[in-house]
Amino acid sequence: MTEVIDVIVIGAGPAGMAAASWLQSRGVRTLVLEERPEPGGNVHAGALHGPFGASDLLGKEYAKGAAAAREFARGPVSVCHGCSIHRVDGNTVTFSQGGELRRVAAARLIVATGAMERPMPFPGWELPGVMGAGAFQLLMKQSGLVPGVDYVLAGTGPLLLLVACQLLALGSRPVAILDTNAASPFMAGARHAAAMAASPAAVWKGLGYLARIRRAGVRVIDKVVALAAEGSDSVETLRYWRRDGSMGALPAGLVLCNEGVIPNIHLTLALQCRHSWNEAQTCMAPVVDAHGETTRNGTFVAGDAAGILGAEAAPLSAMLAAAKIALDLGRITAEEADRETRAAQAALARQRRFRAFLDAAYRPGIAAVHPIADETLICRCEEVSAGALRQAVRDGALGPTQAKMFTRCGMGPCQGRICGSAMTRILSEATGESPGRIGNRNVRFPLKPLSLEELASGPDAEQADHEIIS
Amino acid sequence: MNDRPLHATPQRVWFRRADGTGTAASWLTVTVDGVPVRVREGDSVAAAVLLAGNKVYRRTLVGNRPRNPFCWMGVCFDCLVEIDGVANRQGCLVAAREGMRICRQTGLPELEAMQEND
Repeated sequence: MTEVIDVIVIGAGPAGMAAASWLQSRGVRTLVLEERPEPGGNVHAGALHGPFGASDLLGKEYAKGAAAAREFARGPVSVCHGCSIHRVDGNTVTFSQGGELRRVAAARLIVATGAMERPMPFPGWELPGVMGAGAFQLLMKQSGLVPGVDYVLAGTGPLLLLVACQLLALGSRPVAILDTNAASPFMAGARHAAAMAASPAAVWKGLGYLARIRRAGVRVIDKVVALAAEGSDSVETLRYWRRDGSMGALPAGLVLCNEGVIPNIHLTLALQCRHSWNEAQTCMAPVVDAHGETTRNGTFVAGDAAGILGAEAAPLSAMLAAAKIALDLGRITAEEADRETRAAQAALARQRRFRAFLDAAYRPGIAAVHPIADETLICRCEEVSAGALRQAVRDGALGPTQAKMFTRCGMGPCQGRICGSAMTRILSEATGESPGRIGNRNVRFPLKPLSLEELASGPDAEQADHEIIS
Repeated sequence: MNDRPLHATPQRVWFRRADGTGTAASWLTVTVDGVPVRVREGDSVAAAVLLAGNKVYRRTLVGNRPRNPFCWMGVCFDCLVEIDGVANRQGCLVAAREGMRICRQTGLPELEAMQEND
């Protein structure tokens, strides 16, 4: 028997927690599915067991978010931790937990899968020792680890600056920060002066990061247009090229790179929601209405999975989705929904204006602007290079599906999660079509590789294959 | 340490604990390729493998190339590892538990020893 509830929320980050808590408090039967052992998402990872959950060392915002995640964990919302979504058929979600498949059906689905780091492929980025700065930040938050070798930060945007400041606070110091920004924050600031005046705290936060880095005397190398990691079994040297044609090399046993984050759209792609190209954020995002409802009826997206607005905005968009669902299910009146969401609407509008400044201030140079060298691995799983993808276009591949068949790009275990955005860019450049026209990879269930044993353990395993997807 | 693997591999430091982060923690022991490693409660399996000081986290099946975890959020699958006999688990998403048996997926031990002694 499939359990039937009101709402399934996928992801227990800031958006998922907020949506579920709000719905639960209004008597809407809600279940949260989360891959990690703890709530908090990426941004507040390590809230329960990490060493900084109850300190200000990583900043006041992390401390506040971690406290909220701990409160959520003590609260009444049912959460399945350590589970991964296997498939969604109609309104039924099948997920794997502890080596077994379970199935739950719900009237509405909220996708709160958050963001992932924007992949920024450069030659050697697959070498051990090169990792996302956000990935490293998770390791720091969960385990209290700092680099044990010389390291370099490379990329652009607020997250990279925040990680640099957190490392300095922990007594760790990078060899250098390589700034790959293809925009000018000061010119963007002049154009978005009104948005900045409306969000003074956010502006001070950013200026505080820059001041902290300058005070510490960390070497910042700007106008970097190309990177290459070199080493035999792991990275030893990070080579860089600057806009004026100069180049240099830095010793680095670790390279922590980040050019911002993009929506994690793997699930909404699999659900065949319509997606569109967001030029300001240089990424694909699901098309949603004012409440976060996608083109798939009854499926909502809350938080960064619908477009990057950050952790402060995530609970606000989650609230709008939750209120619309409560209204649809007849649990609140239109007046109540309106009253409850009015403040969130206004706050969200302010967040959007400030985000427009951030989008203009930080443009991902490596991922979106400067040329990608032919030898760069695009698909890390199947080890397909940018050159191989370009050859596929010359051989007649017009879009992601054909390029995938020609090269195996996106056919490994990650199923295109990492190479997807770079593949869209390369095909767009090679064909002259816009990224929006090139579109996304096709994603099919199962969403993650699972064993035959798990498959056989599933509820009516045979029937699942024959179900018609509504 | 009776169960030290036959192929002793070169060690390498990737990360260290930040000062003061170990004091109030509860600790547990897992094995990585048979070698006991003490980790903090809340550490992921992937963190345990890196803390064990292995030079290589895993090798790819396609090109036999070395890889470390890259995304730490369940997206890239570069942290695939065997946990308690189940292969291809995402080590970054699983919390280490007392007594957990973790094995790296680096291909044949003999081959690995040859490669790492090059």
